[in-house]
Amino acid sequence: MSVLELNGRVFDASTTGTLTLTSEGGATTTDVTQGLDKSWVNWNCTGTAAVRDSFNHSSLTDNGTGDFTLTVSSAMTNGDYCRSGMAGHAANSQQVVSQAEANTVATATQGRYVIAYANHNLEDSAYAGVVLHGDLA
Amino acid sequence: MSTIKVDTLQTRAGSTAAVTGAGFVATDQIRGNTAANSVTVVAEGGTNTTNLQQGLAKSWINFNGTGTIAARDSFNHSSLTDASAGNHTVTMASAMGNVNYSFTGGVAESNASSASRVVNFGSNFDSDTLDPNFTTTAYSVNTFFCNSDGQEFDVTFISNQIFGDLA
Repeated sequence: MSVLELNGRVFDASTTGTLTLTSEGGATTTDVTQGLDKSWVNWNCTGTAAVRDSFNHSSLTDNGTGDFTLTVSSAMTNGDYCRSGMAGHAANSQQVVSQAEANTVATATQGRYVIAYANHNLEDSAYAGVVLHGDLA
Repeated sequence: MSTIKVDTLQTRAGSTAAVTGAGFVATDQIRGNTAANSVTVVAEGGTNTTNLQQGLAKSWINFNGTGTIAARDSFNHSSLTDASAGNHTVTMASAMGNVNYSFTGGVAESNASSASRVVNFGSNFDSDTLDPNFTTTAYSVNTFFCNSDGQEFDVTFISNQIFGDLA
């Protein structure tokens, strides 16, 4: 097996953010840059909300029960990125739902997320996670 | 540590890749050597390795599911079909290797008074069956109110990501 050791970065030749990778099946290729997750956050919503671990994340704002704003360190190009998340509570079995954007549209640096029970009541869950895919600026 | 100083790497066939700056290799394509379809990356913690191909999202989309549905932004996406209220089919440009791929997503409504929504994949609540359009190139996205008892509703913001084996 060949090993190529680099000092942390691989750039495309034209620096336009396109880096092609052979697919698992070998029949086609995929775009590494487009496939990479641009930010992820795992946080505790209860008490003083706190991030457990994250990537490309700068701050967490607690807007109220079950209502949070996440800010990325490096901006996306716009607010049209793809976002998804899940939430769960350690203390009981009630299902909670993570929902991107409550009352505000996402921007290049911020997204607002709410955590709710299936009956729509907002809840501070023990575990919440969000992942972003899209175009980094 | 050994050091090789070079400005350009060239294959026997003549293709080149420039070596620039502090540790940058400028190239347009990465292909595994032992197996073209498998590239290993050392983990952040340095103990394990992970697979670059398997870690990448193979398709993602952010679209508006209301009115004339339309993608705001996407990757490896070719078309959207509005089958019925809250029931949409997303078609990918490059096919997956099988139908056992993983999907995740989120939904949101910008209306302040709106209730919570959920998103499911591959389920057709209109016919109470798995969606027949669930293939290597297409999957259905179904959006509901949390307590709507299976009734689908259109949603303004829908995001999906697909992970798995690309063909």
